[in-house]
Amino acid sequence: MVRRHQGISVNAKQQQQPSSVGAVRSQYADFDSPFSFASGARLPSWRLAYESYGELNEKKTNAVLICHALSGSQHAAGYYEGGEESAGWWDNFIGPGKPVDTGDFFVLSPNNLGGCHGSSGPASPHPEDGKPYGSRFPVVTVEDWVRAQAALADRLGIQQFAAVVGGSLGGMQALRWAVDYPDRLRAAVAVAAAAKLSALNIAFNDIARQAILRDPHFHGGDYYGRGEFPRGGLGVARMLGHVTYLSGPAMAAKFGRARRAASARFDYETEFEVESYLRYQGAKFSGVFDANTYLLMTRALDYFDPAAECEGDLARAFAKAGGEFFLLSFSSDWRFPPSSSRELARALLAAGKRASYIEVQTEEGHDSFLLANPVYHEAVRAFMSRLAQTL
Amino acid sequence: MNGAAANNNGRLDFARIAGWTERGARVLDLGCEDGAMLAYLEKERGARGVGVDIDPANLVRCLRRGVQAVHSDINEDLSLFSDGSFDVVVLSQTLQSIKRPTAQILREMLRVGKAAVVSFPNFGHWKMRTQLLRGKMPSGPLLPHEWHDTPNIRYCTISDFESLCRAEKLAVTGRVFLSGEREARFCQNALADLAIYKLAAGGKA
Repeated sequence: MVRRHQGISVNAKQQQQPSSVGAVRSQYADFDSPFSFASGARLPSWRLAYESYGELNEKKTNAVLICHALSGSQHAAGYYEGGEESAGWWDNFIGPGKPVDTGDFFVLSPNNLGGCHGSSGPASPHPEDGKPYGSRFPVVTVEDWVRAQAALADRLGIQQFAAVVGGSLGGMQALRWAVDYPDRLRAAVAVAAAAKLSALNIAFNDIARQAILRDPHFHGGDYYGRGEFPRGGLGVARMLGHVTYLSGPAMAAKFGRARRAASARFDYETEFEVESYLRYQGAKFSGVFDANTYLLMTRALDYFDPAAECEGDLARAFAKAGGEFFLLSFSSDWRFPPSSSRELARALLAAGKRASYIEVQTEEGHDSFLLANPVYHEAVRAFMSRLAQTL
Repeated sequence: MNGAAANNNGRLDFARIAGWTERGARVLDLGCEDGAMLAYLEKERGARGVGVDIDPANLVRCLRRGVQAVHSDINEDLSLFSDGSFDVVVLSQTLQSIKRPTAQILREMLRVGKAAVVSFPNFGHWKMRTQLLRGKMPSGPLLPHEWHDTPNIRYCTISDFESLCRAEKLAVTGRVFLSGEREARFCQNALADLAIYKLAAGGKA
């Protein structure tokens, strides 16, 4: 099983070519009991959409929960039958022979509450009048998401996850899991995460929200059924977000000052390649994502701050946390920089928790967590395969 | 960090450091490489180890064998670690390549840990001296690099290290001197190739 290779023991199975989990489809869990939000608001009944990959073992000890970030969905891996370009958002990370190996683990990937991919969200019908929730959908927090995910785990008979894994906002959910359900996970893997957002980050989120809120098609959030949609505002929000997930050097390398036309046009049409790229990204995103969900997700990010419950003492916030931790950051990530992950590592170590941390050298900024950097993937593979051996 | 070859097979230095490690102790290993020493201390002493290294490849090796590992540059500071959070802080055969003043890193080790364990190749070993007498810059199994391509910037003898501890008021609470696979029991400054010290904060700096 284990052999020596260039001084490093390599699991023989890992020599197999990584492959896709194949065709997948979403499943749905409906809950008839009310869901109470941190804000005090309630949903009388609710639904979570999810996908799963791999097989749950008999003792139900090999489940891994994947938490998605701002624009994610339950579709983390595999592809949809007949769907072109429908690979999951973390398909390079989850699957046979991949860092989260579906040969070892049963991977559960839900869409969060407030989402727009099948879970209860602003576009879902309100049970009272059958009309979309719209502005009536409660503001949701990371704590709310984690509680909903725990209810899904209950439904599937999963008492304890082998690991809860997420990047960015997903990493924050993994951390919240460790604090709120210390007995229900063996490990939390938080990639490019932070203990809280900086003022700069909240500022970016607010600019994104303002773009949506000021779109004349927004109608206070109740735009469903009007035949118009705040696509312009959502597109600008996405353009802004997208830039912050890249890095200056990566953008310089990709676009530089390249123009679509040889000389200046002296107007404001698409002229530079970077403009073209961003406008395309904004337009594409605003065609498939819900503006209300974007508002909710960014607000959840803003509110996340587990230390606030302990007078700002992060180590104390982690005192009751369970499981071990694995943190990763990327050198070029200025949105969730390595210093944020170091702050987490420092607090976890001060709280006496088992925590490992690696900063990976990349050029691609915050987006690195979605890319297949070999050091990053090998590190997660090492951590997860070790975990699999202890199941 | 450098050529652990001389004591590699039996790892007598590991065994001696284990002897200074209480059962269940919290151990921080600065420059942990592949985590071999921590894995040993966890197995032999039930220690709870944390490894520190600057090379992600080493950290991955630690993770693979189940050793907790943290990415940090010990040339900068140990600010990831709070005061007194470890029982023992180990700096194994790494001292010679640390750019910060030696007293500074020793002080910080004693801030983070109740005890510090430091091992270093003894530049006073007779083989070093004879090479210098022949007019050549010394090298050996524990210091394998050529002078023009070495990470090592601080060579010291056992005698030098003793002087530093006295000057900095660092209490030496344990000493082991190794010569290859054996302990050197006399004339250690000339006969030992590896020195291992256990230190406690003895007074104000």
